[in-house]
Amino acid sequence: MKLWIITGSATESGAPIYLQTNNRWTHKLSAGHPIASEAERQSLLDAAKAQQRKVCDPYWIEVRRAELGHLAPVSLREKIRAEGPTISLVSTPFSSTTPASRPAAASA
Amino acid sequence: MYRYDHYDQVLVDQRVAQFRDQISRRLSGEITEDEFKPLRLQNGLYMQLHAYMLRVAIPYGLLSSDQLRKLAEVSRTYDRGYGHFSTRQNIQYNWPRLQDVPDLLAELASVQMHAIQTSGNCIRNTTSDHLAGVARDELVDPRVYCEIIRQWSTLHPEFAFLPRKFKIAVTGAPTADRAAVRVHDIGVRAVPGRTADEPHGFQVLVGGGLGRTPRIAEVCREFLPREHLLSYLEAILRVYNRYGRRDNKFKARIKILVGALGIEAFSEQVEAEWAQIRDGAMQLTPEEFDRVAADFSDPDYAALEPSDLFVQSLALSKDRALGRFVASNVLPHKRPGYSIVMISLKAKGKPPGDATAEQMELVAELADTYGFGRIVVAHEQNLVLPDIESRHLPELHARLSALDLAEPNIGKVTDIIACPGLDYCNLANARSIPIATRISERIEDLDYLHDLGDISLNISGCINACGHHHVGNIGILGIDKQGEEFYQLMLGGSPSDDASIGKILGPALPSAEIVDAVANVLQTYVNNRESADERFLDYVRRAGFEPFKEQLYGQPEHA
Ligand code: HEM
Ligand code: SF4
Repeated sequence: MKLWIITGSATESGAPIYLQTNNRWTHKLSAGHPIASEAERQSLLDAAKAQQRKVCDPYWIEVRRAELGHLAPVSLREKIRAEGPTISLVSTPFSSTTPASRPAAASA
Repeated sequence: MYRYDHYDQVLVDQRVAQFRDQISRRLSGEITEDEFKPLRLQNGLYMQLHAYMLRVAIPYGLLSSDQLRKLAEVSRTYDRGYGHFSTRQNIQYNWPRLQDVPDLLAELASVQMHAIQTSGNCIRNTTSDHLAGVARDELVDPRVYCEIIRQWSTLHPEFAFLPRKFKIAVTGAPTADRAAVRVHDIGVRAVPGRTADEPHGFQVLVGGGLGRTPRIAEVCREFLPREHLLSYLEAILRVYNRYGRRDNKFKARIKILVGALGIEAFSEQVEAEWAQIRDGAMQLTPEEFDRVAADFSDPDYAALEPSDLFVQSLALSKDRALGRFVASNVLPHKRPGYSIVMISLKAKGKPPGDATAEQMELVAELADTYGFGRIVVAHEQNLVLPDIESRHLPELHARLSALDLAEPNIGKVTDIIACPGLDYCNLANARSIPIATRISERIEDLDYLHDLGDISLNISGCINACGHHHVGNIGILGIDKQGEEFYQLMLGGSPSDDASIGKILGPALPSAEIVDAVANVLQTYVNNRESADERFLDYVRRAGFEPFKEQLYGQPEHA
């Protein structure tokens, strides 16, 4: 059975966010709401598109159940999007006080 | 250096205020992303995989030490403490938050920098030779013309909505194109006058470009008197604006139009348009030229003894780290006693073109201490200290080494040009940066690296070719094969006076094999070259692909 999640980029930061239930968004893919039917996928995508202040260009991605039932993206692109660049950034790790730092989870 | 006049400053400040208002309306929900997108793209603000990305122009690559310090400060305050220098003399910040962008731009405006026209279908940052003003082989300083083009093209109302983006490059060195003019929409080459008393003029090339349809530019006009530069550029842009295809994004670049019409018909159109406007207000008077040229006059060089022999002796120094650095990263300067120092942003295992705030600050300080406070960004994604007294080279080398800025690999195969690829880019098919870092880690032996001689290696993560893979001596293109990263290997490209588009060597290789394949290609060259003087590119052109195919795929071409 295929599973999907609705995702998009948060307007305030451009960070990937994932749709939960009740029109809430999370920065953690695994906390997104898994969708199992094409009908629900379409209606949630429409709902996401209506939230244009919070989210830019929402779309759906395919996910799968990985170890311990955790949701994980199917494509490499979405894996990198969810987890960040695969390379070591040249700078020292940014501190939590840096304005650009990305919260691990937040309802955008 | 060129300093903003009142008009420049007002224009940039007004743009910051306007964009601040647009951003606040986006954040409040008053405008949608669809409405905001064209506005942010006019201001160099993209959306990548993880965050917004802001592209800031560095006109003709020239920075003052204060500007570089500001770029460092901005990266620390509003980003993650580093920036990415691109192949078109821009810097990109990968993590700005939308609400911070107006303040970031206001900071940049305070040092006469901006992000206007760094994306969208307009005339982009005009790029140039990174050795402009200091090279021995230069006929005229191209930055003067780049600045004149910048003033003409900035917010030019007729060319704000072209069929597609438009890139111009200018070189002032007739025999050594270091600005890749043949792969630009318009390439401008300074050439000597046709008679002894005629001043220099330009050869104007048109229709070059990479992307999905790579094309080498063709000559539109052999000799253009210099006073007509702007009117001639305007004529080309008018013909493009009128006939360029707006119905298909993939066929919208000027190279497609030039290809469809043929260069003769295209240049006839340009000449006809030009005849209408050539003697108008755009003529460049000697006074106007001198006014702009005054900003690019030489700094106060000291009268020094020639230092070429001294530099040669340093290159052979027993201190091999210094010797290798001088041999590959130090170039002759037009003034006796001075050298040009190239700073590689391609340290082993590091993303090509990235520099941390600390590194930028150190380079700014070194420019102040040892140079005249000037730094240049090279299109190969490196930095240049253009005016170093040769006697300071050992000290400078030691100070650069402390922050991993002394990699002795300029022009060598690990001086890799790479686009951001799938680690950042929304359009990517595959990663570029990890391939670059793996190759640089693989070629550990510096004697081997230097023995290989000058080889360019370019990597793009998709067909858009931001990493110029078509014009790398070795080019690597990332593709997606059923969800797996594969890489096409190309050989034989060159962006210079002998420009050529590389050709695909054979079937694409999976990520796990591509680094071995590059090592294999290099070894085939070393084993078969006539002598160490035969460059890699010359060997490929002479021997063809057969020896490489045989070694790599185990089959001769005609088997
Ligand atoms: C958000 C990231 C980027 C996006 C969305 C992007 C997009 C594109 C696209 C769509 C093209 C193809 C244009 C065409 O063929 O008509 C292109 C070409 C190009 N880009 Fe990028 N790019 C990005 C980052 C970069 C970077 C980081 C560099 C420099 C390292 C760069 C330099 C270039 C160059 C030199 C070309 C090819 C030359 C030409 O225009 O023909 N781009 N880019
Ligand atoms: S070549 Fe492709 S992957 Fe690389 S930066 Fe350009 S658009 Fe992105």
